[in-house]
Amino acid sequence: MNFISYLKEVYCDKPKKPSAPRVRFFSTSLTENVEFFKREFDESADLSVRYVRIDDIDCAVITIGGMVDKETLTHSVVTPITQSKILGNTKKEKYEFIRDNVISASDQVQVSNFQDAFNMIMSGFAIFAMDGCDCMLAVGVQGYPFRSVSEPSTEVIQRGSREGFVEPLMVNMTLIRRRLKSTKLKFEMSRVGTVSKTSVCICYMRDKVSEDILNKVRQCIASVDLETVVESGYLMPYLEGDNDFSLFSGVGMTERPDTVCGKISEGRVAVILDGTPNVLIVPYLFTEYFQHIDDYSRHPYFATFTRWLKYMAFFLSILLPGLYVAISTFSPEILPGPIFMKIALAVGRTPFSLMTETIIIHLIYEIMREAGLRIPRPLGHAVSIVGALVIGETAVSSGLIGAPTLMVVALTAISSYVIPNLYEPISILKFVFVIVGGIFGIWGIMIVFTSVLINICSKNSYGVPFTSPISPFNMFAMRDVLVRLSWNFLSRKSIKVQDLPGSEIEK
Amino acid sequence: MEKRPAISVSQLFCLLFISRMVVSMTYGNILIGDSEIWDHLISAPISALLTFVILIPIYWLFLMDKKMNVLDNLREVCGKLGFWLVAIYVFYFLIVSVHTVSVFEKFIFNAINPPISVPFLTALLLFSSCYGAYKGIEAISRASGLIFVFTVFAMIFFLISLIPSIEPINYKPLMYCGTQSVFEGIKLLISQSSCVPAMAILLPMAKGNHKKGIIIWNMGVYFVFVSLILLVMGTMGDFSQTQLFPVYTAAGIGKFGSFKHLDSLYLGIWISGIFIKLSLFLMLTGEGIKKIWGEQVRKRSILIFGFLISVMSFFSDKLELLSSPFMTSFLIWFLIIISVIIPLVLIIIRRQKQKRGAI
Repeated sequence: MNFISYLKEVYCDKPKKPSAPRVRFFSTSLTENVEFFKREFDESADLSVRYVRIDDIDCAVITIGGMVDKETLTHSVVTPITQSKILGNTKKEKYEFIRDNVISASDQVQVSNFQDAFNMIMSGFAIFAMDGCDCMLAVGVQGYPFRSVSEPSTEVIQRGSREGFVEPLMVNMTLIRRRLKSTKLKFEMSRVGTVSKTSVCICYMRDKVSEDILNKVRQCIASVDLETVVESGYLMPYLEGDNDFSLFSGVGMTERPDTVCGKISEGRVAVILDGTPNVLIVPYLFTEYFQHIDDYSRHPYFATFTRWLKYMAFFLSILLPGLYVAISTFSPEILPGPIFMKIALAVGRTPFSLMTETIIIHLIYEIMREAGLRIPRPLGHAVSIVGALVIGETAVSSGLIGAPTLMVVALTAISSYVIPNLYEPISILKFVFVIVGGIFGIWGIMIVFTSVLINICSKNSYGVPFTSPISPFNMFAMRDVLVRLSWNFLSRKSIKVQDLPGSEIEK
Repeated sequence: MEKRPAISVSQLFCLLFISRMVVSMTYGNILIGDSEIWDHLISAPISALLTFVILIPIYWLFLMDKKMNVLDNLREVCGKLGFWLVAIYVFYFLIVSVHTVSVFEKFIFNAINPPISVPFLTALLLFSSCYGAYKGIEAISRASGLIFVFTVFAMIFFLISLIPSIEPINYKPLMYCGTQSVFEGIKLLISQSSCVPAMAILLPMAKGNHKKGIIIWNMGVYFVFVSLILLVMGTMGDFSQTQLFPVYTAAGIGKFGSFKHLDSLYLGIWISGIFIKLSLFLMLTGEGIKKIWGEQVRKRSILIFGFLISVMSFFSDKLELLSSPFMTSFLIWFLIIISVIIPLVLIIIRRQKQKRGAI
């Protein structure tokens, strides 16, 4: 195989989806069934089989250690079946009597094949099996440990609920249901990952969502061909839909149940993955990056002010370093005299060109940021001190780096944290603009900026233009974009995402 | 028929407004030669009326079948000859792209003279414009909607900044040196109306009230043009006649509070406008290619044309010829052929075929 064919095979040919495993039904022999369980789990240490005899009939309770609450298991399954009088003449009748009258757990599902039984016990159910029966009872006695509901550290707010999503899917569903007590709220479960079989739930309001969007989300989830899905970020490329390259994502992410409730009330779909507190939202538009749940609990004038700050911070963080390099290098006449003198003085004292200097400081800053994220907390302060001393003091005083450049980088870094969800595109774009500004000046920056604009404008999120309602423009929808009007005005009419201008979605 | 991208009429005319504004902003000695810029104040309303007249066949053809553009009509009505006629449109759009690049290069060389390689800057512009053209009309029109807002604000800013510098004495009598400049102005303004043939392809892509859009666009374009002449002449008088790009020079003079050097604001808008115009015309070139050779070739052709124009930009001597007044007559006749004659012929053939029941 030549190199081109190899590349084609790797990048172009779609991998064949593994065929669905053959369904194997239970036998009527308990021994055979239990043996099969043990064989499939290869006698794994956490598989637990507790045998009991009920009226001379062999029974078994199969669980995964650590996934069940032992107290609940004892009270609602083991004690009732061992101490109750079981009525019925045949094994089948006795099984049905236990199912209907003895086991007191409210969550019960009858399963007839091993595949379903495996899924159940690995989700924290206990399987009750009886000899002579070709079906088993999955009893909900989940009791695995999980992090308690707490305030998400990535989306801190000043006013409002302090609850954030946690890892177990069911808890997250409850957090949403508690806020939207509507029969129109629907959760749809499915599984992703051929090996991990992770539960995924799509959540929407039946009366708000577009069937078109919903079907696309279902298709996207069905198209996931990964073996393991352990984080919602794994699903993002599949939910993006199109293969158009863009630095910006059309899939939103939040850890806040109130944000999800707000989004699904506008016709969006939330995708909740078991095992992660990050819930995905689609469709997600560019303007939503600048909206925050805090905006809606503040005075409209202040919310509008902060929103403008966010837009300014975004443009500042992507353009400031590039413009600084471009203007100082090619068009210094634009700068006021005293500022130009300070920059010229600083540049004259440093060994690098302005572009190289800016890139170096940005790279050092990014390295420190990554280190700060991964480093054990007790060492975090050490990194801060080293960073402040090495970059802030020594680099400038030794004449390696100019103070104005350091100031620009610092301002850029702070601005980029105003919209944390946009950090990824910002960090790449600022490098691009520094390079372009250093080579082509402000003319190059304008050209590349317009290209970025085209890139953003060409993107559609589930048939809705990514830049809607700014372009295509809709005056009424702008009431919550550049300004945040008061609730008296916002509540007059709600705009669903599929109703935004330029939307190709069937209503 | 393939699914057409849908944009709104307002988006379409924002896009065309920006494409036309680029011409108005670089209007000056380099285009008009010895003609009196002040007399073009009379040329503008006449040109506006003439633009309406030129647009009649295109609009009429559009009304006959609102789903078909002129290229679809050529393919359907003219058979094999249609391919050649489509190629004429492709050639026109290519000429406009080359012309736009040549004006860009002249502007950068003469007005700014930056310490960077202009051909490489042109290559960057073309590469980026190819990307815009590749992304299609929806992306370009949405971006132009945003740029349009900035353009309007910038225009207001210019107006406010230049009004204090206006000296009434600079306004001399109109047609002081005869009517020759008026006629030349009309010829020049019409020849630069490359947006008119573009409409022949773009109108079916837009949803909304086309008639209203055309009227507002045409009036708006010439209103801004007249305003620019009044501002430039009022601030610089006859000095503007000596400037290659008087609007740019005027922008450098303007002051607003502590804001000075508004030429950088001018540059920002102008380069964005050039980008949008080039993207649009490269996209239209691609649309023509698609009609001849299909979608796959369209994508490749955009890159090939972009590369060709980029290579041509290295030979700036030849490009200078394109941006000279020599081109005016050539462009005006070309425009009349593809905006008036071909659509009129198509209307006649369609009518006859409709009568025979062939369509």
